[in-house]
Amino acid sequence: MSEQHRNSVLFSRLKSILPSNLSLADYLAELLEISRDSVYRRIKGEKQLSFNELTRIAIAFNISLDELFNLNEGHVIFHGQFVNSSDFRLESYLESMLNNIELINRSDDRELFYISKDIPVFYYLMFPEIAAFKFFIWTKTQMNFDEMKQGKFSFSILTPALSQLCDKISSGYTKISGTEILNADNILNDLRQLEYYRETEMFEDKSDFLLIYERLTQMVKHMELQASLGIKCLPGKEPLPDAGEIKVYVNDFFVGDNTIIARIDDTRVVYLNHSAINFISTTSIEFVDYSFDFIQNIIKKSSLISVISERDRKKFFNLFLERIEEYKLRNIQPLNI
Amino acid sequence: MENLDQQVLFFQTLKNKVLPHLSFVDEIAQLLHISEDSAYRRIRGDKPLGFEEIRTLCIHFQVSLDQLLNLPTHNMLFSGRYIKPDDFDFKSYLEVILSQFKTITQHPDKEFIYLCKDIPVYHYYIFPEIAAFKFFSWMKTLLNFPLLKEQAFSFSVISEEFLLLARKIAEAYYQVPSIEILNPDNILTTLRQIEFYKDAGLFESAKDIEKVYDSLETMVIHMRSMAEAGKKFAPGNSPSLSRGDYQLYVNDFYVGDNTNILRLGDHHSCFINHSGTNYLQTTDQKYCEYSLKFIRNIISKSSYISEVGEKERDRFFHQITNRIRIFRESSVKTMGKY
Repeated sequence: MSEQHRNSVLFSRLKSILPSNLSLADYLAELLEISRDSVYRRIKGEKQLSFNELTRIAIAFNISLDELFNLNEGHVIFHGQFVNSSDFRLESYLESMLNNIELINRSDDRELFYISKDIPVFYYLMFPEIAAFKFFIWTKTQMNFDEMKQGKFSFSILTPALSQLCDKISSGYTKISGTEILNADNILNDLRQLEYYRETEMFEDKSDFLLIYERLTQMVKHMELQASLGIKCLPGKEPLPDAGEIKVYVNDFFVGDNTIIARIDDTRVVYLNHSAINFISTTSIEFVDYSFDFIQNIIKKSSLISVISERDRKKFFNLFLERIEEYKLRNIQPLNI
Repeated sequence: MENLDQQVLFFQTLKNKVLPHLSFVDEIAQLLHISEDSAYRRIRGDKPLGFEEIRTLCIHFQVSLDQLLNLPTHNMLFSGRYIKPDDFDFKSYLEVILSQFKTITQHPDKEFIYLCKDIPVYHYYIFPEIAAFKFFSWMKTLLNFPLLKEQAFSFSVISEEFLLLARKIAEAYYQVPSIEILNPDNILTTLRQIEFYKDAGLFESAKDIEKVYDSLETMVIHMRSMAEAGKKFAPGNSPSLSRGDYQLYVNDFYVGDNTNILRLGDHHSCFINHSGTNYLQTTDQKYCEYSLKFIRNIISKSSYISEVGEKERDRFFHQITNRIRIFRESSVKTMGKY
């Protein structure tokens, strides 16, 4: 793309963003504190926009300069915020997740692919006690929030506001048809985390600890129920009329990386997981196509256990249940035995 | 005179990305095909940069303008090649990795940090049997190479040339001081891959299965020796001659994601793993800082088992060798528990 062409692209874009009753030249003259003539010279490409002018324009019109400059050529532009204890806390993280779910649900033709390293995050959010436990791990151990340094685990971490967000996300998730690729090792992370907290005496009350094992068991049974129905639903509830379908595949060959691909009509978005719970997303066509092809290849080498293959399905989820029981039994013994 | 301070700021950011032994002005002049004087005028902000010049510089230095200018887009630039079966040359893939490692080894102040989902690949590379199996399983099963569609695994399928290059990569890796954060579950991927091939009848001979397991066990024993010495070295070599310190941390509460962070002097690059064996790289400052902080936090909660921590080290490697034994002896079936 030539200098002149990129200039034209920029100003056409600005024109399309500006309400039709406003004059672009007047608006830019005021914004850049230059005359209308100077604006026209820039629009015609006779004078180069300076870096400062470009910045002012990008901020005022909320446009991405990375996209304007096609920096994705040979590169991938990812988008994402990082969970931290100041400007992107857990509430913001969940709000962002909810926004994405709602965006997907605005389309009639939508689909979600999840290639799991851990249990897909949406299942945790369906069970308040598990959600509370995961929030505690994320903010205390993985993200190291200052205010969590001294505290022990308590279900009170799940505030009403967080609980409401969990409910909305869970409900939104059940409306999106999806494919989940699981592996026998996906439950290990949760079990090891529980063990870690038990060993570091983070549970004030032993009954809390046991309750989480119980909820994990319920969560696995819920995953199994959904897989048997082939329809998504909330725990203890019948599938709603607008519920999405679910396909569950099991593979032993590859432990996933929690990558999520959302298809919204003809657009696909890849969400890559990093640093525990953070996600960065991209719509870069080359990257999305590659990720999608990779997932399709993994699916081809996996066993479908939803709706059909009852024996394999039972066997797979029983493995999760056995592991929960095994970890529970060894952790209810006093440590010095 | 027009205020060009954003341009000056832009160049300051770029300057921080240039390795100290290189001339910043020369690099700018070369990239934009302009004279040194013209480069200076742009760097000082005396002459505005053209759109194409901005773009060239952003791409070369992997700078997100949105992030640099604090635009509310939260964008980050990553780069990387994708391994595609139709135009992928495995030899040149290994050659590129080797040449990257050679460049890294020449830097006086370097460090490599690996937050493992799987055992770091470089450990496999020095042991031909397990390296051959990993290469084959990546190409055939993960990346679906059409040529291998009907092919079962045997050592003869993997060229000696690949294994020699792999060995050289491992030897280069041994020269880079590194930190690895491992979890007892990291070995499971390889064990399940071997199991998958056993189950699917994809080994040409039963002897090959034993050779692959033997090689894997030898690799783990060697990793243990390196941890004990706190140095990385090729089997048979003396740890005392090695320049690559080996800091091994273990934890059993967090399985990593195969993120690598390379530090050269004050410069950090992050490599993130995706779609099996592919990596994307970024020098995005915010991303690198966040990842580094996250890894440091995981380290602070992990046990250090290099040189010291013998009991923990024994426990960790015992867990791994025990798992290899269980898979090897019990023939863990598909979807089975180890």
